[in-house]
Amino acid sequence: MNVLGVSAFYHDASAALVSEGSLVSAAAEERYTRQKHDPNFPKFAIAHCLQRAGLTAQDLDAVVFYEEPHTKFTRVLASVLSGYPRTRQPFVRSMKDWMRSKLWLRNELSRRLGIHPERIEFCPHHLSHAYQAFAGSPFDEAAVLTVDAVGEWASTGLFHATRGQTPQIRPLETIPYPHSLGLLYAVFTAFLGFRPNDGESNVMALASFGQPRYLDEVGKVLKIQTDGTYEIDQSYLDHFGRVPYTRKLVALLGEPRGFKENLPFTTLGAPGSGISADHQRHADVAASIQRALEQALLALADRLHRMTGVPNLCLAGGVALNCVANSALLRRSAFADLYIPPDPGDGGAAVGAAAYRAFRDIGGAALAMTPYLGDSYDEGSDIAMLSHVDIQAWEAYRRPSASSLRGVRLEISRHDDAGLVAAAVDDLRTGRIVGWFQGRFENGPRALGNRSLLADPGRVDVARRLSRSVKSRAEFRPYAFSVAAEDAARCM
Amino acid sequence: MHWRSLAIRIALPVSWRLFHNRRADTLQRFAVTEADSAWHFLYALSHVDQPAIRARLFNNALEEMHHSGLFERAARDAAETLIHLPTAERTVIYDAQKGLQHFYAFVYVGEKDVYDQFDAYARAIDTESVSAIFSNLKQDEAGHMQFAEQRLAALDLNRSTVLRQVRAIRRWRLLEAWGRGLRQASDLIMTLLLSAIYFSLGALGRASYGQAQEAARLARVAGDLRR
Repeated sequence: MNVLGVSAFYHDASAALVSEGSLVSAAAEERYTRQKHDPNFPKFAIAHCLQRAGLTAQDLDAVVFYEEPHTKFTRVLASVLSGYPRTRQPFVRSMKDWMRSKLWLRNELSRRLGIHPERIEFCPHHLSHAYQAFAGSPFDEAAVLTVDAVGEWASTGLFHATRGQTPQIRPLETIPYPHSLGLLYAVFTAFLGFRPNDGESNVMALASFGQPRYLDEVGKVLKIQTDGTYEIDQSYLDHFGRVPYTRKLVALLGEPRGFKENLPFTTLGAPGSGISADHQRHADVAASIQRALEQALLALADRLHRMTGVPNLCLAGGVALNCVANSALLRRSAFADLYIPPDPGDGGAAVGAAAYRAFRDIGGAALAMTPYLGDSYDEGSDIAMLSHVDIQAWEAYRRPSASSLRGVRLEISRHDDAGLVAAAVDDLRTGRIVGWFQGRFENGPRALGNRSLLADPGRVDVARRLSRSVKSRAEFRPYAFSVAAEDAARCM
Repeated sequence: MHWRSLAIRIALPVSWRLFHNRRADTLQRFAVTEADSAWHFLYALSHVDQPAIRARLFNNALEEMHHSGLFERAARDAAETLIHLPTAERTVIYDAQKGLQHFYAFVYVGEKDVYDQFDAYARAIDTESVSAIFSNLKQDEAGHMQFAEQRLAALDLNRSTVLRQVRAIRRWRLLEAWGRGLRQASDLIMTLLLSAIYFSLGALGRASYGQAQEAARLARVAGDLRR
């Protein structure tokens, strides 16, 4: 059986293919189109999936979309109308969007793929996340927690999953929109001057420079109940305004950060100078929402543990990209073990959608999950091209903070594996940044060794160069260390 | 297209003054368009065998990415609030069946249009730094035009074949522009229609949603009491 999972039309469009019980490929459209979080129909990712398996669209037994569009439409309609009479613009914008294609998604997918509409299926959004979390996990039985902004109506899902004789993922409970941890974190992301659905990692990083001094204030917005569920006071939020928060939140936490304001915190060396009271307040607000999120997730996990009594937890949904909260769950929740798929967000939900259909056919067996499910390329033709490239012409495109290319020559050399590692180590030792490219690209937003930039972690000047001249990102954002598993305990 | 150039020079300063964030939105759209051009060069590159031509296409792609970066920075400087980042669904210009000549002809026509557009924007914009971006970049676009022209010449095709192809692409782009215009007109009608629906039925929808939420809240309270 060949099942294609598709996630698209919101953000992080992706495709995944499960063929004869194996996860053959999974790729985000943005890797092909070079547009971050590309929401458009993932035609290139689908083409890759089919090509990898040697299939055509006609060979697909089912195509599963990662959410139920009609149920979602009722939520979108209800939520924009809840703001009547000041939501005309969002109403018009969203209805046009839905009427153009999203309402007719079965036909749209059928047309684009050239297959019969009967082969198109829909999987509830949080169930897609649940399958994505459990299908590749090493557990035979697990509790599954899915937390994101919002699916159809649910924003959080609690499930119990088993393999064996009767493999199933049973929904236990959902927390409905508008109560949503993902949306709340996105609102604070906007409050702190970052782009919602993109800048959440900035908030997580900024949190490490603050103290959770506003935890009580955040507690007025996010109310964690004694039973482990939560509610969000909507009077602080405005999902349809120019900014997604109200004056009440500003009165509670002070003025929001302007998106152009510099944040002088740095992970690269001594504390930055010029940290004002406002900078510190914003870092403290970040620390407070981060702490509140961790508390809410721990409360949910403990509730789920009480409901299922199993020792293993699988986690997915966009909130599972928050690695600081994940480590809190691993260390402090009642669960003994935790599994998070390589791409726990909406992109990875394509894997969940495919697994949803394939799960029973393969008797609930675990899918061999690896982050390296994307495309691979033959470097031969690119190397031949490089000898014709005029590197001096790139001087015009150089970032102002990067050093000049004048006199720089392009050298091409070939090594065996050992020689390549030795050459890379030499480069790292001399303070160079190494671009490492091998095999299939990663499924999900993390660079995990197949498309990575490497630098010596002992050299702050190199990390600073990487931040300023290569990645153009704020210096308060940290880098991940790569450590051999056998050395991890010694290093960390 | 002098009429278009004239329209830009008249309408642009007015719309940038009147509408909130319009200046930043326009510049951001140019950033997206330039990144799209870069993508087309990269896509074509992956279908070409000759290393020297691949290298030239690669340089063109880098140049377009550089342009995109300049527009992005200008948009950020001009923005009053966080701007929406539009994405374009990639439509493939390079067609393996039609071959490189079709791609080069497309690049030629496209870059010529962009050159004219940049020229009009450079004249219409009153902020010197932003106007300078358009003036400087139009020279690069002229370079891309020249590259496409040279490649077409190198393909050793009959001149009339090339001209026919260029004319066909121009016609296609014109039709596309008309299509866009029609879509905008239908969009406007749709906006009016949906606005009317919103104001006539919105209150009813809001009341129903409120009732449903209240029912859910009461059910939850009842559940808590039972526990």
